[in-house]
Amino acid sequence: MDKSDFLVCDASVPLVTCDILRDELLLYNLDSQAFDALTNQFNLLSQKELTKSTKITELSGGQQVILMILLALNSPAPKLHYLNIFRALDPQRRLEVGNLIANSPKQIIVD
Amino acid sequence: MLHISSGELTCWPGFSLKLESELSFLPGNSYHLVGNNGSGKSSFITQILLPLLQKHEANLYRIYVQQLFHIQGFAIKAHAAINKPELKLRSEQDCLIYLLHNLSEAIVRQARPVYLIVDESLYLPVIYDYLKQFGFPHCLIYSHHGANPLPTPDHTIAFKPLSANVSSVYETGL
Repeated sequence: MDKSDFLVCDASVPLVTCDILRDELLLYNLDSQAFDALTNQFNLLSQKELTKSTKITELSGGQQVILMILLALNSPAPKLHYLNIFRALDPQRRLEVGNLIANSPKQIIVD
Repeated sequence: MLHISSGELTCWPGFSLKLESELSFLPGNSYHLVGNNGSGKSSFITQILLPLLQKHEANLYRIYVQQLFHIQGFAIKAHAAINKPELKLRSEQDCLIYLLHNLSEAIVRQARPVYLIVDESLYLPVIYDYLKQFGFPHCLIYSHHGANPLPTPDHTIAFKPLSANVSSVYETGL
């Protein structure tokens, strides 16, 4: 299978920027509606409020992986390739993230 | 050797850990930190445990294997390239073994207790086997979300969110 046009999201390096969430949002090209969906989903999964000024270094490793997964899911990218995403998640989060991925209309590969 | 008094400790603005009783971390013991994502395990390590270990750095060795090991791996590869250019570190496991060899050489030069903190590493069993093989006195503190790949730890420390801003920290089975 040709994966060259998939957006690769590797949980070993979940976030590219290292200051506030606004920087990471620029990379994923999220509009305001997608940002609202992202923050709602993140709050449901992590019981934590996100704003564009949230310092991503204050998120735990697992929360950073969840954020990466949601950023990609809410981005315009139609094809996603997730790597190593479940290792950093607790059992409940694995189940919930797995459901989100399974219900997404995007074409998604999880390795 | 390391003791942390009970009480509420601020890790970040808006997030603190409530230690229900004093915690002690002693060489010869293993400690499993358990709790869901965001319960404060990594904050405990980076904001409380590591600064405390730093205060005692003249009397011990410490190794911290980060949850997101990628950047740390680059630093280790750079160290190897400068100090042991004949070695070619390729994988994360190569980097960890290099780090542990470096530690064992330091112990041969000057024996001190070793504190190893391993935060969600795929290579926890590799680290454990190395420690067991080398046999130096150590205190192993680790977090791991999957089935515990190590023998039953001597101590289990639980992290339980009381709210979005506070988690309770306590040793189970006491």
